[in-house]
Amino acid sequence: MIGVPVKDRGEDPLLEERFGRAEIFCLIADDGTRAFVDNQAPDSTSGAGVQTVQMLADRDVDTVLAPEIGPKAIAALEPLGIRVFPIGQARTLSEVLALFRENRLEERKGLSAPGGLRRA
Amino acid sequence: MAPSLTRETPVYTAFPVINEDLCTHCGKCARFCAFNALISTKRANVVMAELCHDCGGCALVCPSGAISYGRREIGRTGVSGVPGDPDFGDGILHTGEFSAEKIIEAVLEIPSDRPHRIIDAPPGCSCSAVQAAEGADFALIVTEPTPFALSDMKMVVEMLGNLKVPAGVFLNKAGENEGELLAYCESENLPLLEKLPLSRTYGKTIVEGGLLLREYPEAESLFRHLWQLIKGMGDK
Ligand code: SF4
Ligand code: SF4
Repeated sequence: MIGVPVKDRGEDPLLEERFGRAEIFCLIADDGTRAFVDNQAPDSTSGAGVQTVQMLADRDVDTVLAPEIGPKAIAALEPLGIRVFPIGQARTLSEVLALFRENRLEERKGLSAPGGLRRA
Repeated sequence: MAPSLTRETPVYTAFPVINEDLCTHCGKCARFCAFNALISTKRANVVMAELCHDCGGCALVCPSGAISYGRREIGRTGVSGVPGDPDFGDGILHTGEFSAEKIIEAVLEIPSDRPHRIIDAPPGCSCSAVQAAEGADFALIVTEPTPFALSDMKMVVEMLGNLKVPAGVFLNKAGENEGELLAYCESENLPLLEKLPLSRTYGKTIVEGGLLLREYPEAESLFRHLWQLIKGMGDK
């Protein structure tokens, strides 16, 4: 399952710049079926990114395509075995999925570098 | 002033440690934690030690008794002066930590037999400022005659009112444009205890790490007078 933060529930949604505070995630199953889920985290004052990671993990997401992800969320994603790919130049969901399928997104690795967990 | 002191007393906070042999991955701990310090999934658990506020709740809700707590150092406190009766105490929060609450608590608990204690609170109305001011006998609001400082001060006055801490005002960089501030103090019944005039030479001394008290006799008598007034008000 792939998880992508998006701005709307349209045919080809715009990508959301934020991760933890994104309001909607689009989940794409292996057979290509899409579902939209609300992300409750925008209301939470601390650890919005971590709560988002929990939500995605509960829905069996193993791959995240997203722009900037906060260090706390990053530190939580890796031990759960969830892979992270920055979205490059993509602006819409179909663009980023195409890049991903063509292996043109570079995986963000070495996430647990020192300091990753320590940022507020 | 840059007091020389060694900060030797570590301040700790707790974080949960999950015993994977007992954990059934039910997810109750993660759903309970108000600070999102725990993630629990079928595959694995993740503890974000830095987010834990040490409430102890996750161990209580865990049905399998899988949670215990470790501790980690988040900062240190230190004192200088006479052993057993220090005249200066402070604390630091280690880089990367973001909750100063326990450090402030530890600093406030440094034992001292002296009759008075001056607590230097952070500016504004942050949690740390509330924590530092809570329970004080008297608060001295140090402000400047600028619109920005006045709007900040109004919030501080409100905070002190809620904490029921009586307050007075010290006006720094006094000179022009005091009117609005003085009118506000009067409307709030806040006594203006002393003011230090705006002065280039004072500014220079402070930037160079000097003490106004030592270098300017007029400043010394001003601060003596201020202290007498504060003692009078705090002991009331
Ligand atoms: S002790 Fe409280 S704050 Fe810390 S992880 Fe457990 S529930 Fe969260
Ligand atoms: S509540 Fe206890 S048993 Fe359930 S996931 Fe948390 S640690 Fe494991």
